[in-house]
Amino acid sequence: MTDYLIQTDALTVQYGRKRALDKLTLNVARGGIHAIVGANGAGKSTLFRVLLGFETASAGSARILGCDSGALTPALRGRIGFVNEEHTLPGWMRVDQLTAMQRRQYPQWSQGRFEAVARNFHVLPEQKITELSRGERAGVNLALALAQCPELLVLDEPTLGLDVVAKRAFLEALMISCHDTASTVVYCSHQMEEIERVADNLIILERGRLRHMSAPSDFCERVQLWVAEFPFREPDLSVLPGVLDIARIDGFTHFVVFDQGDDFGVHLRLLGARSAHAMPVSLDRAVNGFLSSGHISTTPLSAAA
Amino acid sequence: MRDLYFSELRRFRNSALIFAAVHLALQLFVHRMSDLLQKGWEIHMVALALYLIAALAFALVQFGGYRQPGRWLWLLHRPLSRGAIFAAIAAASITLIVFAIGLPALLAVMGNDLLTARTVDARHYLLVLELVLLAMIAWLAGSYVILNRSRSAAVVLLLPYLMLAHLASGYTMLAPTLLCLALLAFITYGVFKPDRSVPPAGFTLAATAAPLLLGFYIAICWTGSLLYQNGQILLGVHPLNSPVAPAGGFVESTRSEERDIFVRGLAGATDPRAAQWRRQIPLIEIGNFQASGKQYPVRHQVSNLDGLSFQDDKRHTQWTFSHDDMLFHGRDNHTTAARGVIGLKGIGDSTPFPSVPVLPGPHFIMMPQELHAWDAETGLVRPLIRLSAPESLAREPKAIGDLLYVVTNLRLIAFAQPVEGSGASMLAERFSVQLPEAFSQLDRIDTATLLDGTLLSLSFGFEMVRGGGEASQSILLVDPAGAVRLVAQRRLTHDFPALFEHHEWWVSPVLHAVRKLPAALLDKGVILDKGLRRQTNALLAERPAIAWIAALAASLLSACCASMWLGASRVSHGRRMAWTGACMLLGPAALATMLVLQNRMPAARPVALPRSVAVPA
Repeated sequence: MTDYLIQTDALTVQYGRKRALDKLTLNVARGGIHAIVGANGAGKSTLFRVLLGFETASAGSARILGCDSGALTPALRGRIGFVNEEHTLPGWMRVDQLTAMQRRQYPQWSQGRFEAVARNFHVLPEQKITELSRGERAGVNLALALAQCPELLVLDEPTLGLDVVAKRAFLEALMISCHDTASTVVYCSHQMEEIERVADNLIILERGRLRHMSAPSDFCERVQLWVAEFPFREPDLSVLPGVLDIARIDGFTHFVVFDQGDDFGVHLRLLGARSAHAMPVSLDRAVNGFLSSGHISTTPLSAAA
Repeated sequence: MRDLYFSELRRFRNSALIFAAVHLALQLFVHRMSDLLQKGWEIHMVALALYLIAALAFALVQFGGYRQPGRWLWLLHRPLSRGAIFAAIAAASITLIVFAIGLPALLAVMGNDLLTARTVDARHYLLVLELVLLAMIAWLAGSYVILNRSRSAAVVLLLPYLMLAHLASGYTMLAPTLLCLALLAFITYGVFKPDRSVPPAGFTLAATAAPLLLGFYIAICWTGSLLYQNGQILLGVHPLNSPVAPAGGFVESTRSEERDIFVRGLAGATDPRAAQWRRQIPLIEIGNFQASGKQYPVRHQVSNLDGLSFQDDKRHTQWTFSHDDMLFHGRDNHTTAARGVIGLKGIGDSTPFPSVPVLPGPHFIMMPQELHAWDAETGLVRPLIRLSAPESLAREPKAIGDLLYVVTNLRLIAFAQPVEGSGASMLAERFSVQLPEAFSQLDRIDTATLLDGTLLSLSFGFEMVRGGGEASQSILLVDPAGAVRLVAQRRLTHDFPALFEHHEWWVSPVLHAVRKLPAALLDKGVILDKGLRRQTNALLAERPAIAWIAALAASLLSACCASMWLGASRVSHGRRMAWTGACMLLGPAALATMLVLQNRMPAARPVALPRSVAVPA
């Protein structure tokens, strides 16, 4: 029996002629922190909305916690936490009033965990939500979500707009809480240093399709940076296999490649490269290269040069 | 649920307090300045409109905040059923409406009742209840509109107008009010769901379609009429907007001078004396009057069809009719103290009036079957005319010469003028004329007193512009013995094309019938035409062939459009047939409803991706 918390099968969401999700088949296993990355419009938020039943698929299916996402019961919703980028909380309530309301609604509520997380953000119970800074509101939102002891916690770009201090406090609180509990976290972010720090699994979406899924370290191992020097006229590089991104810097040509071994250096030399060296890349560079291959054509290189 | 309820109360607590305080202050001020409860329905409608706008705005602000994706998710993604969440928010909103609108209004009515000698009836307490229910309806309608995926759903706002804009008894109106409330609550709950873009299905679809159908029907009729008439005005051919009305038409008849209408009517007369009458007409006194009302107030109606109070200068007293005991109650102008009652026989008599009267002029008290005279000197009320039901007096008597003319729904009756000091005698009937056409069509009556009798001109066609049939003018001669003879009759031509006159019908005969149903079912005190037991004129009206053809064309066109629109969508065969059938039966309004309620999901098309460079792990 599979133990996937999230399962989608050929999930398609279409707005007019545009497809936000395009036959997406994705299985997210229980446990750990799963990072979903992708360019704007990749379909991340749409995926979350479909999973939580706030959007209906045009085709395909989506299941969350084993249940069809269009038929989530209140009990199942109580097992799924959600933190969005806007940290929308009722501005007319005080922190203690909001906490009391959530405490009464969620049967698994852990007051200790709420206080432990909220403590990092120095929020007073009598403060009104509207009086909180964005970072403090994010902290309260995270504390509320974690205190619900969700089986699955979905975070949609939760650190967007936070300063460095608030971001660090947020991530530490998240990591400590997840370490202490069996919650599965699905974390969506554009911040690769965050992903690198917290994620156990990396999921890359592009234009509504799954492009890649593996551990971040495995992904980085499969992406390499090759730096070559072409002393004469640059050859036709489109014949090179697995190229994600090409850039010209100080007379050297930088290739970000996927799943290429030492043979790639041989290819470069056959094309006239005087020298060719391979080196590892950061997750940020690897993901950027991976995603830019879908957005930026490498063909008009001579024009760029 | 309890927490959400209090959360919502907390959200609007300050606004509600301010609104309630301002409302109460305004209520006290207005009641201090005038007797608002006795004002006519026009004033009440203005006040009601303000309340409804406030309730509507409340819903728009409330759900305008929640409908943002993040907030919507925060509200609905919790371990509570959406029914419980909706109930919590609705309960909080009702509490706020009761507090901010109902309570100050109730305090104002109670203040008038307990602290003044003004006439306050049970219907005025009912008015407060209706006010609260209508505000809740406005709140629900606003909630539905703001939560709906289509802005066109705003036509649902016409539903309360259609169902509730009737001056029937307040107790009777509770049923349609509660029905409207329940329907709107049901359809609003239907859009109160995580994915608001999902169209309703099953019974919810039918319940949602009903108010939209009626709303679109009215919107189409009004818009079409407005566009057509404005086009006519721009072209300078609008019959009512032209300096000279079309010759031989109803508008010309309405606008005619008294003498002219006789001359035109007598033009086709075959009576040998007609030429002589035409010469006499410019030289003699001509009387003219119209049926000044076609409706009586109904007991316990929450507003007032007419003012039901009059001034008694001799006693410095304001007499106001009470629906509770059917008596006039006096209030001293100087001391504001109570000054007794007027019953069927006058001051001090407690015999109730048989029905709610109207006051046509300072000397008359009129009811459907009775006309009484009020003698301010003696304080007595004496009967002048009594009719047998179903014949009803049609308002304002008109004195012309030595006769007092009264129109009923069956006859024009001329009585001898009442004589001062004649005791309790009833008026003597001089002659009466059967109305040659339906009373509801009666437009004007003109009288010319000749040497050898009286010429009467009766013009009909009041409902013609609304598809109510033909217009005509009849001229009758009443000889000195009271014998009546028709001397001339002519058809008045249609000022508007038949397609315009009958447009409310052919746009959708079924919805037209539904729209006219409340008038047929509710007792609104309307004076009925001969032979009718209910106001079913519009339902029974004959339609010309061109209207039938237009109705058929509108149905077929709507069905074709629906079929084509659905043809490009992924819609089940059953639903496609249902929508097409509905358009065939109900016309363009069903098509518009379908566009709002039915998602159009085009067949999936492959979207080209850029070069793929990796294989999913």
